Amino acid sequence: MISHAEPVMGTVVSFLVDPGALEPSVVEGAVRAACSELHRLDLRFSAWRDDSELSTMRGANGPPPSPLMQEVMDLCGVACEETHGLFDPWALPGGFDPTGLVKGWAAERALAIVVGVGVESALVNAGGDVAVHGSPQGVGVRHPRRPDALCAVVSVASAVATSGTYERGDHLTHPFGFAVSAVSATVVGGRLALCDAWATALAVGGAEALFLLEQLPQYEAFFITEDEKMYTTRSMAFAHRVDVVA
Amino acid sequence: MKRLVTLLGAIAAGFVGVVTLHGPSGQSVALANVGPTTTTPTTPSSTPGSGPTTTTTTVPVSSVSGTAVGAVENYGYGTMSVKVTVASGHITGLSIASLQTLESYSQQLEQQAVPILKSEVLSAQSTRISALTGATYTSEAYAYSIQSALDKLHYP
Repeated sequence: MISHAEPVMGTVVSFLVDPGALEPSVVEGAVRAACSELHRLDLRFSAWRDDSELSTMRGANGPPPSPLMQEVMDLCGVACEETHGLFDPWALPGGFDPTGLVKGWAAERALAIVVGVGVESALVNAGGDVAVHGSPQGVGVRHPRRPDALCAVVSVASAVATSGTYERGDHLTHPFGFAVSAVSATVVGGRLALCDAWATALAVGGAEALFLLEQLPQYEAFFITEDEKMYTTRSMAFAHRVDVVA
Repeated sequence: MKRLVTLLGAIAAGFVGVVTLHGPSGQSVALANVGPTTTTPTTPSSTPGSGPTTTTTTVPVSSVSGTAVGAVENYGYGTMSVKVTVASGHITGLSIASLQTLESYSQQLEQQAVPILKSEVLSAQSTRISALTGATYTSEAYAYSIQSALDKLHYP
């Protein structure tokens, strides 16, 4: 198993790759290339860098979006539609902010680079947005209140993302002005870019988002409320679960 | 930054070798043991303030053994410190040495929580865990505390 952790995008992106029959040096080269790509994307999409393409575009008389930016904007449009506006990067204070989707999207691209050299099994974890290729992987979902505990373990074949108010302070905003519903929201399945956006939508929308997710067969999900109740989609399967209801 | 990179490499590999979970059903869950850390060289980092990131390569660590408690770190809702045990170059134990939470956060959930970092369940069977999701900044406090513990052990 080859592992690597890269500080980038304001978090740590870790790789776990089974090289199989491949030379480790080939896999390590791919991981390096994936990290370069992450740094490149960070320079473009960071909302915290004044010189990023995103910041430039948001300024007055900004240039038109690059093809890569357009790809992200298109994905944001898909996510906004799928979530019925619960994920809406255009509704945020300060202008268009795709941050809730870009990390997952970037992790997808990093995984694709590693998979491109022919590894059978690989995982990229971008600060909790996890993309998986090959055999399903067990992913622990951190307890929303305790740093030394999990609240669930899920088996992940493609993607998992968690969002919540506990992560980096109260960073979530409900696009319709309601109170944010969940302290922790986890979505499993689909492609990571959209899974990531859905986690945000589920955190702000709670039961409303869960109802929408029930209609989409590629996703399973659960969220935990302020009063410590866990709500899940009907077919949500846990590899291991801790009941947070007394 | 090199220390952090090394640490996180160690977490990614060693971490999972030790972190375990006891369930209410009595089943235990052991995280994947991915064996010795194989750290690939890092690419230059553009993280602000970090300066050029040094290259981390596979380091012989087989001689390192011992236990140390890392610095007390603020994780946003309180403070925590982490105890690390290293045997022959492998991180064999991670546990919370101290944990203080702010009063406004639930005691109820605390009592229900599952300790995932107990090394006593290393022998347990198997839902393997390859990654963690959620609570990113608490993990930073965790990471820094582990790093300082590893520093005390002169773990590379």
